Amino acid sequence: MKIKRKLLLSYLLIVGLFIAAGVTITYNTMKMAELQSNVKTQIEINDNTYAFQRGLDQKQFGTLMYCTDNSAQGEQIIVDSAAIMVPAQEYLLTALESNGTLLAQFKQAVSLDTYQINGAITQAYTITIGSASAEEKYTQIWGQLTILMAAVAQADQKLADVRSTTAANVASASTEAQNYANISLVIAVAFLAVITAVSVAMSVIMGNRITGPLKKLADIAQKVSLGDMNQRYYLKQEIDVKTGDEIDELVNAFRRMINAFRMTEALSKETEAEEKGKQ
Amino acid sequence: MTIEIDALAVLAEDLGPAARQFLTRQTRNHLGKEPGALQKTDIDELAKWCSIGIQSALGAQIAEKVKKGLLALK
Repeated sequence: MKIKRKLLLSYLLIVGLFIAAGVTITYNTMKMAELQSNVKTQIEINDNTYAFQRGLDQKQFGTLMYCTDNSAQGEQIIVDSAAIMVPAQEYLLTALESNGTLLAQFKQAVSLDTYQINGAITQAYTITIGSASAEEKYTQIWGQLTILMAAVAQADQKLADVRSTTAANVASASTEAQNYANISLVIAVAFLAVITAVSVAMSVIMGNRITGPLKKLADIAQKVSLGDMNQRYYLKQEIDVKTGDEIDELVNAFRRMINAFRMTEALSKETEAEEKGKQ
Repeated sequence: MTIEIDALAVLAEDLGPAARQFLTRQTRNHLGKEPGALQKTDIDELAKWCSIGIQSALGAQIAEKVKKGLLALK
């Protein structure tokens, strides 16, 4: 293999390691971004569930006020509660579409609000404006308030379940994101160590493979240039490593050149001897 | 290609620029002809004398290698 190709392969090996590290870390980063988006959604669901819960409590409080001679204030509080609950409900019905269990729990709370709570409020209002005696009104209104409070408690429980599930999802996603971050850190450090080790090893190996034979060849060339033709044997012993690259070609060319010197020298001696014989 | 060129190619592999001078000498001195006049029938004799000449100057290993190379030209 040619030196250029060997160097290129070493370079590609190191680049390959960098790419592997980059791909792994990018994958982890994408997973973390995905988890972050999931956490954001879960927090929004939690916030809206809490708003809906708060609206229910407000509605309950407004009804109590309405039934205890603060009808104007109570009515306002009930209207305000709707302003909180309606957008929260709209958001949650859309956001929970992909989660059947949570959606069912929320719909149960909505159902309690629509039928039992609002029903109890309507009944209480009807009783208030009715013509029954004060004592009868008190008993009937208290009956409706008891229904309302029980329904609010039930709805609260359903909403609390939704919130605890989303809180658990947030905690789980945060842990998972933390794990991905830790893995990315370990991978980065490990790849850095491996890439450093491989780079150093490749530099040393490639350096020795190229400069080692060249140094020996330079020593031998120095001796041959001073007339020591026996270097052909050293050449064989010291640099006869089949590297298959340009160093090999150089050694062969050098060996051939020394052979040519020796052969020319031998032929000259023979010619000289023949001439002496003729004389 | 002539036998001369083929033989030179074999010899140049180990003798480099001295190949032509060596071939001329061995052909003239031992086969009694010019390299350009070499025939296939001369190859055995040529291989023998080249091997002998190389063995004394460069050793038996190269001599054997060259001999095999020349005999392969037959």
